[in-house]
Amino acid sequence: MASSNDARGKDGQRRREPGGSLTGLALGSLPLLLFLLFPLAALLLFLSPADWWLHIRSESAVRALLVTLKTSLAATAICVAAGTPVALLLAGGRFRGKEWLDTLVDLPLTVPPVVAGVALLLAFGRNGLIGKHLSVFGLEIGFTSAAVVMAQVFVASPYFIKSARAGFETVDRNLVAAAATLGAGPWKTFRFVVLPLARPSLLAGVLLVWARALSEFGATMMFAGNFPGRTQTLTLAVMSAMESDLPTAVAVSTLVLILSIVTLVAAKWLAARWRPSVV
Amino acid sequence: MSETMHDLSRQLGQAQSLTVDAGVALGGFAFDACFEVKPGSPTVLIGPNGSGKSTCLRLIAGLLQPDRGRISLGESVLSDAGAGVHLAPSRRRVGLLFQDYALFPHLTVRENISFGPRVRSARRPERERAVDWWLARLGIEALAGADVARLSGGEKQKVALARALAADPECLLLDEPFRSLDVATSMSVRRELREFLAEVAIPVLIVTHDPLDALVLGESIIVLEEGRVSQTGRLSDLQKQPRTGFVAEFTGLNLFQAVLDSGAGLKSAHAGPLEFHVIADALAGEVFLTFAPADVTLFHERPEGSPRNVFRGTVTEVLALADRVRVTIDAGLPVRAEVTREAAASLHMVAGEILFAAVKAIAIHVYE
Repeated sequence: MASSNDARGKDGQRRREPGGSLTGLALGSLPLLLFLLFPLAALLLFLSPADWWLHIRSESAVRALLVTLKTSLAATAICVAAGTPVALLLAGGRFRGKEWLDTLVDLPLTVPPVVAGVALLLAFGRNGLIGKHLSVFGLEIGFTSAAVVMAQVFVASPYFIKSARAGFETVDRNLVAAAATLGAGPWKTFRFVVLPLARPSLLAGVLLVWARALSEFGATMMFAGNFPGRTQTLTLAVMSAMESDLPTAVAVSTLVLILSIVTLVAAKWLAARWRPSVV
Repeated sequence: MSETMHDLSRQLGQAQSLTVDAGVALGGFAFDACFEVKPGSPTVLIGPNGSGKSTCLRLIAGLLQPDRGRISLGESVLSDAGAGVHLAPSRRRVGLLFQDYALFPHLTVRENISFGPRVRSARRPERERAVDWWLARLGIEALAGADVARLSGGEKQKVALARALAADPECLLLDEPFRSLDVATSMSVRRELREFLAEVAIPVLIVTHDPLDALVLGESIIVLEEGRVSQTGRLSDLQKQPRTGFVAEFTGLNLFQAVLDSGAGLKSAHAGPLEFHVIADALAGEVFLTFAPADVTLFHERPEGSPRNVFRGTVTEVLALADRVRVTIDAGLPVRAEVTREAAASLHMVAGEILFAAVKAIAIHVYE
């Protein structure tokens, strides 16, 4: 995320590439880069702008967009609120079980979303471990928009926690100690010193979480189902439309792609630009 | 708050002593020390690296909790291991000047200085008044809006000092205040700091490993070795009766304040009745001269030869150290020399004897 791909040394001179000349490497990289670019171009070029506008205005697309915006923003807010203490804990001192906590937090990155969806269902579904106690009170989570949000939080939370942790870890401990000796308690130290210094990483984390929540599919499918207007997000709408209405599927796919590109670029830009200066 | 904030004008009678009688074990290292820091003039805590100086500061500031004993400021207890009292750093009024100054990089100079009043919920006009007052007091008004990353080392130190004092502390700790500065600037900064701290009415503790700091800044000195206080006293007491090798080492250094001629090559520096010949092309005016006692040679007759600086004086003191003898000669000002025991015996060095002390010009270090 940080611009570690900067090929220039401190003195501004180009470092020698480890694998040979720049031209040779560029040629060697071409197949994969083209392979990545072609499908994206095919997607973007499939519809004319007028057709795209026509299909993106369809009722199912607009409803999916609203569901997606609502749930992904809620999921992002929850990840920030609940993930910040975890990130602070991991960025702080050593404690027993830290490695395990770290692994647990990263787990959603490697667990397939479909499996996460099954797991969520078994925990919070009507007959789930916790869900069956909740249903006694008439509280049903499975197949509601709350389930969409939970699925998104489950798969996206590592993106915020990792980014926030990295941000908190860059804050010099002496600055925290200095704030304390100047009379700032833990909250004011966090508010006036830690937060502003970690802000770029936190904002980058917010964007990454949001991008991941937008593109969530598997866990949502299993845990929240595919009900238009309630749990059908943009990605689920793509799948539904593929069966009967290809242009709408492509129009919605294009929208998701553009949103992903914008958030990724914004996150990279933030991470590169807002590096706290060292005193 | 604005009245008390200007604590330079606070009456000495109101400031209270800092008392430390506490210990802590950190892994294989044990710190256990007992001393008092009185208001009025700075106290220097000096010790070699690894002697527990930082541990001591962290204990006083509350960043570390003692296993034993208590730390108090006048009547108020900061830490008391026996009673289970440990005031959080933010709740004790102990100012700490960090070695690297620890200025907040995201804030301007003005915002850094107003940090203390701000987190203590002072109203904006009060805050601004306090900041203006400290900016003026340290002569850094011009830097108010500056980005702290652009400051020089000396400027950073002043900002950090203003920031610590604007928080209205009841005692001030300085951690190696000159370590982050280069030698050439740090001598003038030392002098400025000494003049400034002389007017600060609260107890001031300066922690250092550098003998020069003790000689320039410290009227009372606490020596810390291996986590324990090995000697305390005024500089002159320590010079007369060093109890450890480390104390002997750092109190032996010759230090003079002098006025240096301008120009290049060999030139004169007048320190009271003494005239030194030194080499310091870039400097002129008020300077400090230092030279190691081992660089001073003693003679019975005025020597003929290369040393440019020869002083005639009476032996006032002969002090036997572990592996050498320190001879102090009154040549108008005291000059300390260290010689082997054999040399001391053969030259018959006893108090009252007239001797010549010689120092080569290149052995004298000149600082602004």
